[in-house]
This record gives sequence, structure tokens and C-alpha cells, in this order.
Amino acid sequence: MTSTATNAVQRGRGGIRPLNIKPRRTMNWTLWAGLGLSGLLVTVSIAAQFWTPYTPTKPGVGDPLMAPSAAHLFGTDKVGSDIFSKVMAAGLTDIGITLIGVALAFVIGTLIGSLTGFFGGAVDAIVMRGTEIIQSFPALLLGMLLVSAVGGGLINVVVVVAILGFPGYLRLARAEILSKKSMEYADAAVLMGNGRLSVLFKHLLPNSLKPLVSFSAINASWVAIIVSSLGFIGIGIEPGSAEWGSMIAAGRDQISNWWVTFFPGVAILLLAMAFYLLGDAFADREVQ
Amino acid sequence: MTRTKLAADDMLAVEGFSASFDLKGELRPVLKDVTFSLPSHSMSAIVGESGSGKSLTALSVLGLAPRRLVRTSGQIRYRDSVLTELSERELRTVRGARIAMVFQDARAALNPVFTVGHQLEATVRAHQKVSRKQAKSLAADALASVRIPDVSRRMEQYPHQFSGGMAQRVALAQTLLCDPELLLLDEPTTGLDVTIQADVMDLITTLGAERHMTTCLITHDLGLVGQYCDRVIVMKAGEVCEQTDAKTVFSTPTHPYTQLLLDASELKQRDTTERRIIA
Amino acid sequence: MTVNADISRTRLPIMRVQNVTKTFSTISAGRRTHLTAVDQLDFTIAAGETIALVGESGSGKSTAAKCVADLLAPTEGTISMDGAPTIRPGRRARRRDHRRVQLVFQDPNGSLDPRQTVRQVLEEPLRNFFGNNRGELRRRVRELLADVELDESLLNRRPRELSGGQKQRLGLARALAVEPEIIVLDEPTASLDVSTRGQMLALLERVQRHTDVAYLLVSHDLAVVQSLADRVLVMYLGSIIESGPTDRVFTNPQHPYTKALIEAAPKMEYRALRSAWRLDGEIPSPTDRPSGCLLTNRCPVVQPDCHAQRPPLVAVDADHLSACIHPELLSAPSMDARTAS
Ligand SMILES: Nc1ncnc2c1ncn2[C@@H]1O[C@H](COP(=O)(O)OP(=O)(O)OP(=O)(O)O)[C@@H](O)[C@H]1O
Ligand SMILES: Nc1ncnc2c1ncn2[C@@H]1O[C@H](COP(=O)(O)OP(=O)(O)OP(=O)(O)O)[C@@H](O)[C@H]1O
Ligand SMILES: [Mg+2]
Ligand SMILES: [Mg+2]
Repeated sequence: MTSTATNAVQRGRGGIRPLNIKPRRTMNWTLWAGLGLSGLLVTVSIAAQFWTPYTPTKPGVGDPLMAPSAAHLFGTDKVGSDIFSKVMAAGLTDIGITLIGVALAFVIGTLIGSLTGFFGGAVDAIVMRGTEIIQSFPALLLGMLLVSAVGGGLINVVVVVAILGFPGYLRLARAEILSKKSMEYADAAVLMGNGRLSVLFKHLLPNSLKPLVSFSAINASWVAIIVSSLGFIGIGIEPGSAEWGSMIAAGRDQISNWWVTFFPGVAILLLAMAFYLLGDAFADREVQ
Repeated sequence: MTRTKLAADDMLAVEGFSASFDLKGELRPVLKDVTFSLPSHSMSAIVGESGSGKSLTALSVLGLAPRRLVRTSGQIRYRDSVLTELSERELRTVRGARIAMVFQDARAALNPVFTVGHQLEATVRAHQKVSRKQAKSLAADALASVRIPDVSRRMEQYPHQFSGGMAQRVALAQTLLCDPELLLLDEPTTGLDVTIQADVMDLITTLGAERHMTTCLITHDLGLVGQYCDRVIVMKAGEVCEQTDAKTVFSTPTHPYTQLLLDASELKQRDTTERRIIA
Repeated sequence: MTVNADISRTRLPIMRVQNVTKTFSTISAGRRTHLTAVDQLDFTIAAGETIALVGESGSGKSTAAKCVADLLAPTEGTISMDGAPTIRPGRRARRRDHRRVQLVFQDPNGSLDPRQTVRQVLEEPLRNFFGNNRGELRRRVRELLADVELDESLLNRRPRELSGGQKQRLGLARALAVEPEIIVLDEPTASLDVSTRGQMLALLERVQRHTDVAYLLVSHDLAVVQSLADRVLVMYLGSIIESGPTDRVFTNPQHPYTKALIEAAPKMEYRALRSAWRLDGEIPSPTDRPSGCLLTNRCPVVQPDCHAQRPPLVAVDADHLSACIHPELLSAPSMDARTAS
């Protein structure tokens, strides 16, 4: 469809849109829903650092395994901690690891990808093989292997998440730069007295960022799930700490007390969804 | 000067069309009361100053103007429908199939990541129910008709491997494949030498007659206008300043700007006698 | 036109293009084919001179232009400035100083960074080459805009917010900003209306008078070529087939392609009579160039001996060269018979 005359131009010219008196409302709801949801999650997690209904890690604030009630909105776990407070407090860990991991992967992947795409040659070929190898493993399996090799802990999990994610950015950045390299404005930049690196970083890379940004949002939703999966398996963050995945793990043997696992699960889902919606909205804007 | 009463046999009528750019609430007018019509089966030309709004007018017909351009008055009629009232969905059925356009920057109209053949075939299949093989041969014929040699190999190349003029001809071929009723050509031959330009213009004229097409050519070349067009619309600074028969433009231009264009078309020749250079 | 006293003095070339050939290899249907875009190009450019490159669409003009501007490395041959070869074939040679040769691209849209504003486009070369301070930058940018007749209100616009002709003038302005010795102009006036075109040509002449810059002009607009160029090179299928002083090539073309080109130029009349001297037939592909004269399959007066071998460029008189072995047929009366039929 993108290849008929008019549609092809629509993407080529960027800002072209129908001429109406009233600006047409596009499918903006994904953007607003994504922004709203992530805003809510972030606000709640930050607020939880200052105030929660109960001290999140303190056992025995209620009886063990109480069903949700007015006093304990999400119920209590088997040591009697308040699940609502714990879910709130865990937000910062999950969101923080996800964001930092994604940012690391973004920067490293984009940097290497644009350099190898721009300069090509043997290094490029080797790097591409390398990313293929990383990507040929199932991500979670590789994550488990890496974490058990380097050990758990906050920083290690962040690094492992970045390692899992960066090949995606690398390949995307490389493809973008490769297609931009043959554009005439790259030649023009050379004529205007730019060195090779400044052509790359001042002209080609800024024009390649949009797809990378929308990819990073989609990627973040996937990273959020990996982070909590590692917690669930019990090899990521210290088991039993305030982290959604570990909370689910702790409730694994209490199927009949559904609330212990249900609420952290919903939180993970919401976080993944928030990132996903944002990514979708960015990708949409780009097509327009 | 401009006709306000529009004949029923006009294919397209732009009526008092004004539009402004919306710059954060402040309106900067670019098209001012543009009024002209394209009679059915005619070949008209829009000529005029660079930056006078020729391309924006054509884009507005297709509903493809930049999003910040807002209509402040007037309308654009195509046959019985008012294009400026149609929704995006309705416009889509008109665009390409009934009204098609060759854009001023032809290369931007081609997708850099697909081969030329792929894009032409996709156009064929979007407009006709044909097999893959038939689509390919129709696409090849279209390329050959715009004088591109060695078609089978060229179909497998990417747009950046084409010269400027060849990319322009590919865009034209793609548009002709849509088999439109109304064809808007925004400077379609600027990258072509005069011999191929003549071939391409002959092709457009012939196809236009065969398929009963109405054509509107945006150009800076009054020579082309004289050779091929029936009517001329002259634009300056967002306004239509003259609309008349091509013949009268050359014999008795009324508007001073038209006269100026005619005069400026003839350039004095460089006096090279004193500038001989010994290599 | 008033000519400076020093322009008529004997000039030495500042650039020498010797036997430059550029081939592209493309892979189609699994086979590698070689496309000869430019074949054995040979010419010199002197300071203050304007050389025009005209020819069929796809004949290799832009490729030649990019080789001259050091954006493409020739496959064979050398391009030297002041006698020192700076571009050697085969590899992407160490950059020549781009201050000396600038290029105005054929595609004004594709050659502008979509994210740069007009101001940034013009400031970039001024910063990189002259390290101008802020006040100086402002002044120069304003001056350049005025030179190319662009309004200052455009300063903060991006390319997609400019009309075709405005983008083209911006491309010219940034090349002028560098104040080079040679400017390659690839279709500099293609999307300008005739009155703006006139102003651009006047600007180019003025700049040339003041700075002695040389132009290599690629254009399909023969009126522009006639008004600007001292010498013309006519290209067909990658080769120069005729070259000489502009006035003589235009009044007395010595190659059937040149003649067809000149006669096909639209006249400023309503339904002007068209010349019968037209080139029909398939345009040959640059991957598969005819072995004899390049025009054999389209030439209206082709002779049996034209197929034998590629005719070399030979002097018709002093500095007017042509690659046609039967120039006498160009004015043959048989052509009038064709007109009548
Ligand atoms: N997206 C945009 N935002 C702001 N201004 C714009 C935009 N597009 C065009 N313009 C301005 O609107 C005016 C008309 O532009 P248009 O492209 O229609 O000119 P044109 O007549 O086609 O000129 P040319 O012959 O040079 O192509 C110009 O002054 C241009 O700068
Ligand atoms: N990057 C490339 N890869 C492959 N082939 C190319 C490339 N660039 C140009 N060519 C081919 O080289 C030949 C000459 O192209 P060039 O752009 O120099 O022509 P031109 O004379 O400038 O034509 P026009 O007047 O249409 O712009 C064409 O056949 C073109 O397809
Ligand atoms: Mg335009
Ligand atoms: Mg070209």
C-alpha cells in the first residue's frame, strides 16, 4: 500500500495531511493512554518513597493471608505485610531497572550500530555476526545464564537487561544509517566542511532517531517483563525484596490466596502496556 | 479576468480558495482568493513566480497540503463533489485513481528501500485486478514509454541508482499507471533534456487524448506552454493574476506580470569573444 | 557586457580532468553488470571561466559533476588542481580541500538535511571554514539570503516548508558561502520562474566578475547555457561527443545529437513548427554501449561506416571538436524531404 503514488509521497514528505478547516483528530488515544498510564505508575512509585499506607517491608501489620479489605486494599501476604504498600514501593525498582537498562541498551546499541553501519568493512561484519548470536538465544534463557554467571543484584540485572536489549538497537541504528548514507544531504554535509564523524553524528544520526525512540518504548515493555521474570525465578534481585516478580514468586505456593500473586501481576502488565502504548503512538506519528 | 461563473463542463473548479499557514495561532495567508477552472479534456498550465503557491494549490486539490495549511474560504469542486468537504477516507478513493499528481520532488515520491519495479507493480495491482506477471509487464511497458532503456534491469534497481531525470520519469510512469481522469503535473520535466522532454510531453498529450484525460501542467517554461497547452493560469504572490487561452498569452498578454514573464524568457547570450581562454 | 581587463589575459587551467571514467557495478538477477556512467572525460577549467555540460538525461552529467567535486572517486583517470593530482582512481582518496570546489546539487530536496533550518544550513559552512563569530555569522547569512533573493522571514523554516525554487536558491547560497574557486552547478535554475532565473544568472555573473570563480554548469535549459557559458561540452551516453565555444556550437553544431538538442528546444510561440531533425529509436543502455558511434541506432543520417568504430573527438576548427565522421550530412537537403513527408 505504501507504494502507490500518493501514499509513497505521504511518507516521503513527512508532514503532508489533508486540508480541512478543523484539524482532524487522529488516533491520538494511544499516546494519551500511554502517557497517562506511565505517568500514573511513575507518580505512584515515587510517592511510595515518602508515603505508603503501611511500612511495605514490615511483617505483621495485619494477619497473614488476609483477603482484600478496606484496611488492606490488596490483602496481606503470608508474613502479614500489606500487599498494596509493597506493590507501590516495588514500582520504583521495576520501573528504574527497566528505564536504566533500556537507556543503556539504547545508547550502546545506537552508538555501535551507527558507527559500524557508517564505516562498514570487516568490523561491521563481525559485529553483525555477534548480534545474531546473541539474538539467536531465547532472551530469558540468556538472561538467566548471564545472571547466574555474574550473580544477582540491582546493578547486575540492569547490565544483563542492557546486554539482552542492545543488539536490537544496534541493528536498527545500522539499518537506518545505511539507508541515510546514500542520501545526498550526507554528501552535502561533507562539502560543507564536516568530517566523517560529524556527518554521522550531526546529520545522519539525528535523522534516524525517531524509529529508535519508538522501538525503545516497545522494547521497554518487554524489558519490564524480563526484569520481573528474573525476579520470579529468584535469581535477579534478592528474593523477597520489594520487586513485583519476586512478590509473585513468593506467592507461588498459595494458589487459593489469589491476591498475593494477582496484584503484582497486574502491575507488571500495566507497566508493560504503558510502554507498549507509547511505542505504538510514536510509531504512528512517524508514519504520518 | 478570472471567471467567476463556472461552466458545467469543467473537470475541476477552484473557487475563491484562500488558505493560510497556522503559525501557533497567527495566520499567514499564502493563497488568496485563488479562482480558476480546468475544462474537461483540456491541457492547462499554471505558470508563475517561484513561491507563489502553485504547488500548494495542486496539493490542496488532492487534500495533501501540509497539516498547518488551513482553508479560510472558498472551495474546490471536482465534477459533482466538493473536494474540500470530503473526509480523508473519501479523498482516498479519489486520490490516485481519479486525480493523480506528479510531485515536484520526484525522488521523494519514490520509496528508497524498494526497487523501482516493485513500486510500479504495486501501483498496477492497487488499481487493476491482474496477476503478478501481468503487473510486471504493464510496469515494464510504462517505464519503456517514458524512454527508459534496458527496462528489465532498471526494474531491479533502487531509486538512488537512477539519474535525476530518470527518477522524474519513473514518477511520471507510476502516475500514468493509475490511469487517472485528472492529471496534475508539478514541473514534471525539469530534469529532462529537451529531446526526451519532447518525447515525454508527446506521450502525455497522446495518452491524454486517448484516455480523455484532463491535464494541468505546472511549469516555468513558457515554450512548453505554447507547444502543448490550451489554457494558461498565471499566479503571483498567492493570487491568480491572469487566466486565458494559451494563444492569447503569446499574442496579447494583458497582465503586466505575464508580459514580464514573456520578456524574461528570452535571455541575452553571453559575449564570449573577449573571453577566449587558452588551455 | 563589460569585461574586466584581466579576464582576457591568457589563463592557465586551475583544474584538469584527464580521462576520467566512472563505472558503477550493479547486481541484477544474480549477475554483476557494469554500467559506464562516464567514459574518458577530458577537459580543463580555468579561473573565471564557465563551462557547460549538456546532454541527454542519464548521460552521466551528475556523475561527472560529483567526480569533480570529489564526492565520487573516478574508476580511472585523474582530476588535478594546480598540477597536483588530488583524486586518484580506485580508492576514496584523502579529501581535497572542499573550500576550493563546491557543488550545487541537482535535487534541492534530497541534498538538504530535513532537520536543519535555513539559518543552520547557511551557518554551518561559515563556521566550519571561517570560524566566524556570531555577529559576523549573522551578517553573512543575511547577505547570502539577499544575494539569492530569499526573504529573511524564511530563516527559521525547514526544507519541507520551502517551495521548490526556494530550496534550490538555498542550495546555491550555501555553495556561495564557502567562496570556492570552482562551483559545480547541477541544474541550478530548474525550478525557478524565468524572472527569478534571470536574477540568479545576473548574480552568478556578478560573483564571477568579483571573485573570478569558475563554473561547471550542468543544465537542460539551453537559454541558460547560452547566456552563461564560454564553452560547452555535449555528452551522450557517458562520452563527450562535441565541445567548443558556446556560440559556435549553438550556431553551427557538428554532431547530429547536438543538432537534435538545439532544434528540440521549445520556442516561445504558440504551437511552433517543430523540426524534423528528431532522434527516434530506442535509447541504448549505458551497460551495453554500441561499439561504433554511440548514436548509430538513432541517427537520422547514419551511414554504414558509422558502425565500424567509435569516432574520436576531432577538431572541426581550432577549439571546436566533434565526434561525428559525417558532419557534412547535418545540412543535407534530404532532411527537408523528410520534413515534407
Ligand atoms: N510546510 C510549509 N510551511 C510553511 N510555509 C510553506 C510550507 N510549504 C510551502 N510554504 C510556503 O508557501 C509558499 C508557496 O509555496 P509553493 O510550494 O506552493 O510555491 P510554488 O509556487 O510551487 O513555488 P516553486 O515554483 O518555487 O516550486 C512559499 O512561500 C513557501 O515558502
Ligand atoms: N549510485 C549509482 N549506482 C548505479 N548507477 C548509477 C548511480 N548513479 C548514477 N548511476 C547511473 O549512471 C548513469 C548516469 O547518471 P547521472 O546521474 O550522471 O546522469 P545525468 O546526466 O545527470 O542525468 P539527468 O540529466 O537525468 O540528471 C545513469 O544511467 C544512472 O542510472
Ligand atoms: Mg512548487
Ligand atoms: Mg543529473
